[in-house]
Amino acid sequence: MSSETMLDSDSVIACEPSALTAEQQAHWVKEIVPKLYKTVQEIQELPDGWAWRLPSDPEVLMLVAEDLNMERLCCPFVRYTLEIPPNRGPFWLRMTGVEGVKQFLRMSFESGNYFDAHVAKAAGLNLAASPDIDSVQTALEATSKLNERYAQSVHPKDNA
Amino acid sequence: MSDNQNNASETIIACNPNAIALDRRDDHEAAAKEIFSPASVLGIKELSNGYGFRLAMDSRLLHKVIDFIDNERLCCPFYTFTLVIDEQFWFELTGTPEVKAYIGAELVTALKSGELPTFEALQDAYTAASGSANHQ
Repeated sequence: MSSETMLDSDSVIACEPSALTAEQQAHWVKEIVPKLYKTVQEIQELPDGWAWRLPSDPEVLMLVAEDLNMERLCCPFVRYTLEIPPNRGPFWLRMTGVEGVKQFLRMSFESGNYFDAHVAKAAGLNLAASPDIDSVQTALEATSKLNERYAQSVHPKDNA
Repeated sequence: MSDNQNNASETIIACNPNAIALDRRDDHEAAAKEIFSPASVLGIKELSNGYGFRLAMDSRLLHKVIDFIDNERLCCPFYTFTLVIDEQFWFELTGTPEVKAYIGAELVTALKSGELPTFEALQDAYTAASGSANHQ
């Protein structure tokens, strides 16, 4: 029984942490989640995805670069658009895609305690049952459960 | 007030290389040459408000572009930088109509000729532009 959800022959809505090395996985948990995700100032809903407002900070920019390098390998079905506006305005990272991607991303955001609680609440995210992503093992388990839950939500009979 | 503004309504559309720390300028110039080289730029498209440069999808190049943007936004604070990553990697430079004209004249033309402007040339242009703005 596959936990992957096919869109077409070229596109799958499921994240593949195995696309990252063990070192990258550890770096994501230890550095990216606490230093980048927790600095997200606002999460906006878009018609086809989500946007994060991030502080206009050089360190944040470098962390975004590291995150994008991993996310594009792990979750290649997402289109990532990073906008750096004039005169040191806040950065915007948009994550969009075809039908299903927005829902998957929401479930992904709610699969772990990634964001500041106030920011998540303002965006309408439910993090009540979300585990703290404090180890690679926790992160891998959360991703596996996310992929399964999404697949079941799209094809409940197929995955029963 | 930023270095590229004389007053609230005037923005100097010229890059100011002196806004980049002295110890970072050589690396920044090298990054520009690598990013905007024939080996990296696979395509150029004109946008309604600027230009897009299709780059090779490469982790090292992505890091280099981000590094470049970190300095370039100090030097040229009137740009909007946009990276679009999916099956392709696009680096877009956009702004007002004046900014688009500047990008076309300074960067796109230079790319086609293979000669990016030097720091000295950019500084001279900035000095001329800010001097002209001061006298308006």
